[in-house]
Amino acid sequence: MFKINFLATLSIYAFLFAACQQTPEPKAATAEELSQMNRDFVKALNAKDAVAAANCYTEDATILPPNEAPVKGRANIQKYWEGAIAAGAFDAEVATTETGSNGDLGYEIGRLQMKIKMPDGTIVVERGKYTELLKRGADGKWLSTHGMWNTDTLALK
Amino acid sequence: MQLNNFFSFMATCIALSIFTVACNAPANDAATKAAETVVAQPDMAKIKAEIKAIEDAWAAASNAKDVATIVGFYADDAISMNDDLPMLVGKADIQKGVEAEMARRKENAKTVFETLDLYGDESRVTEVGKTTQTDSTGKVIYTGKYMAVWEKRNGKWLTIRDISNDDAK
Repeated sequence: MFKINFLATLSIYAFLFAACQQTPEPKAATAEELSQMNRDFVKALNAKDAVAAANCYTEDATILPPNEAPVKGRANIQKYWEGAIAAGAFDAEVATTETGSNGDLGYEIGRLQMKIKMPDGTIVVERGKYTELLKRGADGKWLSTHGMWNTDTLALK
Repeated sequence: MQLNNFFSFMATCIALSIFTVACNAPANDAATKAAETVVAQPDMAKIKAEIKAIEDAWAAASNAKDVATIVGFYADDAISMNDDLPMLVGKADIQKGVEAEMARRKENAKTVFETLDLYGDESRVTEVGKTTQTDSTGKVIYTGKYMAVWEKRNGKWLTIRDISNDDAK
């Protein structure tokens, strides 16, 4: 009798031990979470706050702007957006069309619109699309590691 | 309490104690964390080699103006986002875009794709890459960059989304 009980106990123990060794499923990210980075970014850009805009990227992030070489590192990204703000960029908008993630890596794809006040005072509306490669930090916040966009037209060229 | 029941009770207690201790091991146990990390890591070198092989075949198809082969690298529901063009949604749209691109392509131009970064796992990766085009003399006539989201479907890597732009104004 003792032997049977002991074996049963061991079986339960083995089952519980196996169960506790299972790797927990990574927490699935929602579209809301994955698109928050760009909402924060646009808010910062429209407030002409390049520091806050740069803080939407990881320290080692790279942005890949059209018609320019890649810009690497948060400090350089901040300078890039300072330049864009100084050049007349304002009233930016983004609309997420798609998100996806595996574990702590994700992406966001969407459409963008930005107004640019030209030196002669005219306002050009630039429309395009973008892809952000995102990484979830220890605090749960998603930041961009790579951001790329392009325009739908040749408006500014 | 009978002796057998007592032993059984004690055995259960010991087993549950071991289980509890095992399941509540300190999170900062470096050896455990390292072991878990090793198990969880995808073989990115292997994936990168697979993607590189496709990129090389893609470049060869571009150099040969082989539209059908290029379009075959895309999933049926792919979206391609090229510079200065609206989104191309689906293979039929992408084919028209590739045909237009091949028509604009300079004769004897040679394209090379270089994967700079690759993130993801065995089922989906995002690639960041560089495009270089040279003329027949080897002079660089174009440089650009791209990001592509790849998904493995039925054992085959397919581009589901890509975006590109030029380096030069």
